[in-house]
Amino acid sequence: MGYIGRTPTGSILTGADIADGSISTAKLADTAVSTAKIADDAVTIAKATGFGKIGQVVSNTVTTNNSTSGTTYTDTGLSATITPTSSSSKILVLPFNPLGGDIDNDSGGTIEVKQKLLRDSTTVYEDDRFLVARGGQHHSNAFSHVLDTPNTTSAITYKCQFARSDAGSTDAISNQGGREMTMTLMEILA
Amino acid sequence: MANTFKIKTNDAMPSSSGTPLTLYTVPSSTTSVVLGLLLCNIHTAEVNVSVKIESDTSDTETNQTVFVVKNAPIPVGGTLEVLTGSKVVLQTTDVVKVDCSVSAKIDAALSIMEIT
Repeated sequence: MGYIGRTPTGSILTGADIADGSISTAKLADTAVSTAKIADDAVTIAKATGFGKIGQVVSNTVTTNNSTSGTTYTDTGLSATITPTSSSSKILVLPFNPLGGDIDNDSGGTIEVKQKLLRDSTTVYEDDRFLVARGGQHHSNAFSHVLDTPNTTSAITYKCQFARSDAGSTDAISNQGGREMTMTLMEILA
Repeated sequence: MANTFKIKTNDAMPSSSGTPLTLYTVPSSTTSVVLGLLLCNIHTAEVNVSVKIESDTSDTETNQTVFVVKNAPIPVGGTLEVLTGSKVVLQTTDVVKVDCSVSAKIDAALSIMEIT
């Protein structure tokens, strides 16, 4: 079969002519997919790798104050709960929990204060001699930050504890005056 | 046996698009060899043409109606040679019909040799 005179023009391929799934990655130029071709909600967390990502931020503020003269850890009252979205996530714990030691008679005595951070019942950070105070009152912020790897997707609660690390009758003090203290948790996605 | 060369023509066919129009029917006691079929688009736009052979003759198997070409495009000013380099043998009562996507826009020229 042939044509005399004009011949039919070739038909332009349409999407219907191309089988689903038939175009391989190799056929796409590196610049073929522009940002405009990506829908706003098309990129999931799983596809975004190779750079740090904040998955969620949780913060809890309390005005609890507490004191103890014992050497057994007690809660400061500061805590926050987070549920990681992935077991490979890390949790950056940012507590603001002023701790101090009270030596009320300026007698030249000393007090030593210890602190720790728990994830549920697991110790993730401990400083058994955080503060050594001589005479009067001394206060300082507790640990500034801790990076934890909980390896879970279940809800976990971080909380601060403190106690005297040396024996004595005067108090270790948390958040004297009941001002606001805050714990912020950031989920850092893998 | 006598061999007779003939041409069968029909202008502006078919009379109704979608209803193939008979261009040639093999007479009785005749075997025909189709030597060529030209279909010329006389329309002002591209048309699609179909050619059918209606045959119910048989030796041991009964023939069926078949397309020789179906919905072939012919551009404006173009002519389609349907049987370039091949031949079709027709038997008595076999029919060649032509259809077009637009009524009355094909001029057909059929060259045959009848053997009687």
